Amino acid sequence: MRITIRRKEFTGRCILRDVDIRLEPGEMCAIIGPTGIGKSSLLQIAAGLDKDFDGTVSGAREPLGYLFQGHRLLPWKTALQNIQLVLPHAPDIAKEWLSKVGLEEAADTYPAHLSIGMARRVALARALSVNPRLLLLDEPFSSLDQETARSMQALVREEVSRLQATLLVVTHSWSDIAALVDRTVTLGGSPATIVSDTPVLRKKAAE
Amino acid sequence: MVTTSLRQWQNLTSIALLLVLWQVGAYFAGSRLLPGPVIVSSALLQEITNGTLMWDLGISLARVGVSFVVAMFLGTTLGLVLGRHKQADGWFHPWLVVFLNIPALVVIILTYIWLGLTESALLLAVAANKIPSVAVTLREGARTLDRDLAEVAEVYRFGLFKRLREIILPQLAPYLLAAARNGLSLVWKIVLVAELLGRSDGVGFQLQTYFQLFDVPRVIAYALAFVLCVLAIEAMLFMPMERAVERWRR
Repeated sequence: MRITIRRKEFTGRCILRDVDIRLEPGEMCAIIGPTGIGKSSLLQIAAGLDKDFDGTVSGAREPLGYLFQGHRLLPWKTALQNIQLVLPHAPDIAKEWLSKVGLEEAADTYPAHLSIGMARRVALARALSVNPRLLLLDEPFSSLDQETARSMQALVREEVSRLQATLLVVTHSWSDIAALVDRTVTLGGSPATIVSDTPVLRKKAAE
Repeated sequence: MVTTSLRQWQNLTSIALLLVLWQVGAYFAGSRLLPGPVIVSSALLQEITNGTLMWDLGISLARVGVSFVVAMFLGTTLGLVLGRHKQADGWFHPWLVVFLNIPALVVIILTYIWLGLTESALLLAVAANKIPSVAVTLREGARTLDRDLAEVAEVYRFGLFKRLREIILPQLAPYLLAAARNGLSLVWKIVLVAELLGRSDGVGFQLQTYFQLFDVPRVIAYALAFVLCVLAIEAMLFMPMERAVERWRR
């Protein structure tokens, strides 16, 4: 997949310029950089939600899983129903996904009664349940405690390698970078562009 | 549950109190122009047993039903279009304000003049009175539709029908319910006026007849029967719908 952004404007101001990212199937890549620099915009463009920019997105694979910055669950559906909704042909699997993120107890709870961390885990389960070939995560574990974050990172990594999916994750967390990705793309400057694109070196023995 | 039963107890006591006040007032007035609840209920019973009340009530309720459905459908469509398209709203908003402020009576008179004293004229006049306010309510609903959830629908490739049912309708439900509730109470009042002006059956027509006879017990009896029907619709239809709509809220 290739994302090319020559120019992206937001409220009349150019925020992204000359961003060109190539991603292979199975590649796990983090987008890092200061707050408000346009990382989330980049995800929106990768998802095909934002078409108002000068550039192209090609070779994006389906299905798409997207964990937004908020949880974006439908408030009038329970946790379980929210996952079932994206699985019209296999509603039974939804329950398994809830237990994979450790929330089977919350199956019949409405989002308004879930904590933010719980609601985002339901949203993560929703994103993973469609067996995504492109997975976009926007600061996925920022509202989780360390231990839960670690188990969610492991789950994401496992699913992404099982599906040979492309992972693009916006994050501020070094723990996400260390545990999740093989490559980091750093955005900087104004308007923002790629200031570095480096592989993450892992010590096999340490894992 | 405790609060629900307390509420019911409160409702019943309050209605009983109203009846007592009415009876006491009628007793002290001592006039046949202010009959008490006992006299009114015996008139009501008479009208039910000799048949005309049920017939007229049925006709009026059918008119309420038809014009209500027509007004809700057209008003909702119009409201959604105006709420979603700024251009259309810019052009038609002034019209809406004008139509909102035309007195119901004028609409009824004009419709009768143009279309004759017919059933369809009545239905059209009543619906026309209601359409602007439904449109305004639903326009508000359409404006508040959440873009974030629309994006979720796009990401997970919801079809048009699924989008409508799972994303849009639940967001519009409170507005639809509000429009329906206000709509019903407005429509049934207008139906009576339209009947009084141009039809020879229905509760409105009967009220006119008993007005001319100065038969106050029967005027009140008809009004009471009608109000009871509308309250029943409220309790059996709207209250359960409201509970369903509100269930997921915190």
